[in-house]
Amino acid sequence: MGYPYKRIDVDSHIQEKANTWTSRMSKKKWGDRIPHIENRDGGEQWIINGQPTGTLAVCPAVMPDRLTWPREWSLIPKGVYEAEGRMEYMDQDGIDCQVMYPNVTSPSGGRFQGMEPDFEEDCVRAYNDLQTEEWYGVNPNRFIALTVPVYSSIDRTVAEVKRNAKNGHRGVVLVGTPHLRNLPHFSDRYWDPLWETIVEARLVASIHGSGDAPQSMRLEPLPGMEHRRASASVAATGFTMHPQYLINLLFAGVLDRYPDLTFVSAETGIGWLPWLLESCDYAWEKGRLWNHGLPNRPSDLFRQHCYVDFWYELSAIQQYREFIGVDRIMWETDFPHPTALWPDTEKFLAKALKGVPKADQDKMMFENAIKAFNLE
Amino acid sequence: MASGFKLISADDHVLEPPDLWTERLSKQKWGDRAPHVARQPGGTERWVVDGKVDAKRPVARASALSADSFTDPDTWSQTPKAAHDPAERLKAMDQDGVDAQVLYPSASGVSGEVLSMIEDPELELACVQAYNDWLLETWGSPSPRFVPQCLVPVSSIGAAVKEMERSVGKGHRGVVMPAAPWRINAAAPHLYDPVWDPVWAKATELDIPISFHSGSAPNLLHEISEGFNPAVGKGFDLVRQPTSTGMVIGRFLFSGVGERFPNTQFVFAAGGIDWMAFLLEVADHEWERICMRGDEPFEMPTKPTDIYYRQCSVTTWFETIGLRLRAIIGVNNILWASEFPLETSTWPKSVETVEKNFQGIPAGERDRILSGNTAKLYKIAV
Repeated sequence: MGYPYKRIDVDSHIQEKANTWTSRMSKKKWGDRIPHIENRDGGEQWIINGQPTGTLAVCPAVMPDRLTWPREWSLIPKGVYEAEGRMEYMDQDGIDCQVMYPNVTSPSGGRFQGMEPDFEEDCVRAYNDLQTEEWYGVNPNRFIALTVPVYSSIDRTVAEVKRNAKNGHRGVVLVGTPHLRNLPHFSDRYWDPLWETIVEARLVASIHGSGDAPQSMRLEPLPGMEHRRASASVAATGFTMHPQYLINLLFAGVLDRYPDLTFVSAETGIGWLPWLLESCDYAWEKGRLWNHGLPNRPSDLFRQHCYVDFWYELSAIQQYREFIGVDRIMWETDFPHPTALWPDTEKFLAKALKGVPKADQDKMMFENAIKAFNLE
Repeated sequence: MASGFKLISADDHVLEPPDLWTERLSKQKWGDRAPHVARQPGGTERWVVDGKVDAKRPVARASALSADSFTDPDTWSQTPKAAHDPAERLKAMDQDGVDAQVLYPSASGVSGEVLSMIEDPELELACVQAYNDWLLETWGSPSPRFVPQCLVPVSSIGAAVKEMERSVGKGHRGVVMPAAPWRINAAAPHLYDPVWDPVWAKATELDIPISFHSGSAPNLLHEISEGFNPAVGKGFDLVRQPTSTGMVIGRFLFSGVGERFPNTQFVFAAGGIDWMAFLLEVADHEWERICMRGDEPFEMPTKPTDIYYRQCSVTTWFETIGLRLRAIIGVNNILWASEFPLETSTWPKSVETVEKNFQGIPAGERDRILSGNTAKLYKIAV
């Protein structure tokens, strides 16, 4: 297929449908523990493993006030949770295809991690099958599926990644802080079979946004702080965890050991990359870290292995994209989350890409994504 | 000023000697609870504060002076003098072309956070006062080239205000605080709670800046794996700490503190500037998209960057891209620092580094970043 719009959105979200798990898991085996929607505490919400989540859907960008997280399913536009409706939004925005991250399963896929292993596995499989059957399967040219792994053992992790690779998934979305979730640190050789599987199946490894980090990695707003002020302060500082995950991978030697591993940073913006590249190189040189198991310069590793996404920033694209590397930058909309470009996508792009040579625009808007995700 | 420009480093560290607190705190009253140095199994020395061994920090942070510029001493007696002796420090500064240093602590925590963790308010205050007195006597008096900054207790706001008054009266020129005291001391309120207002008001009245040094809110940081080689762990640490400063500055801009105290100056030290243009853009974007909608009057009518340009300073040392973006980050908001004697320090190549990184930057702008802004903030005669 071609890419008539010349735009690939590398970070968008599936809202899991109401029957995602009830239609795929054994009622006899799991009963009411199966994730389902109930009307509780003033509105509909997901009940998972018997626990209320307080959330039904994350799609404020398409709600009339851009702020509401709906608590009534009938208020949610179809394009949030169904492929057909989504393609209408994509056509309006001139987008060829979208890389899909979860909502209820948590944006970086951590929702079921740590639950009873068999239960986790059934829930995760159902989510991955939803992607295969109802998104990628509906139109493989317009939806790119990423696998949420099972975490209870490395054998199960690898098995689920392999199963979905056969079903056409293009990557794996990982939590950012396994070491804070009773799992080994990403520097631990425990994960080697996963990295090997990802490389063999020509997938990408991705961490999304905060990587489902624990609250401790962000400062808490002052209790009782005004709502909009608090929301804006949280949104403006969400980027500070992710760079540490990327730095950790660079210093853990994972990218040195797997020269064919591709790593994608989703929903993080790109303006912090100059810091990451300059400071990692500085530390590498100061500490002569090539003598300590890190043979490659960190900025070289980044430029060989990693991709980052921009959505609403202007100055990084306008003023210092070449320092980050035009070959490493992709584009995303974050639809339908709070910071999504929709419905102002054209406006944002006109500003961001003003004066940028066509060749650079094409790389960032779709060509790099084709390479990163091994698309045709 | 051999190099043709003045260099005032806005962020360097003194090293507290092992007898600082044992000499100044009542042995009878505090006994072994006073911070002191003790030999650990294996032979290395560590600080012991209120009975707790500070196992993760070296007894003295002086990597810049080590043979490979990346190794801290195992024992106090191995620590090079330029790290802890003011007369030797002045020689090291001369060697590096640095005219003056603004001083931050080490064993007390880079931002005083080790002392802030002491649960007993009386002991916390006694330790803070001992540090403040020691710093003035040992470093503040011998040379105008050292700019002393006091610590404050975080468990009592009344005591903090009194300590600011006392210390500044004796000669301190700034206040250093941990960025998230409520996370490390159960008695400390959230820093944006208006109960802290007397501290900001006092800083305005005394006309001194308040400083937060990066790394003082430990759990914002990604853990260093135990499997990391020590040098790699140190490399990771020096990159991860400034990264977490984005959280501290970003939250501060929306906190309301700057709006209530527009004349108080805040310094966010050791955070770097390479990511700062990004934070400022994101902060204004979210403010415009979230805070400037809905019913008027708006909760936050002031733009985050207006607060930043008016009353915040950030520090830079080895970076180049941030300097290129100085028009966005603010030529008046950037302070050069050497971070002596930590592993990231530009010492002994500060002049060389500056000459390379400031190529093509007009001398007027260069001089503000290298010395003028810091001189103005701390009233240093140039």
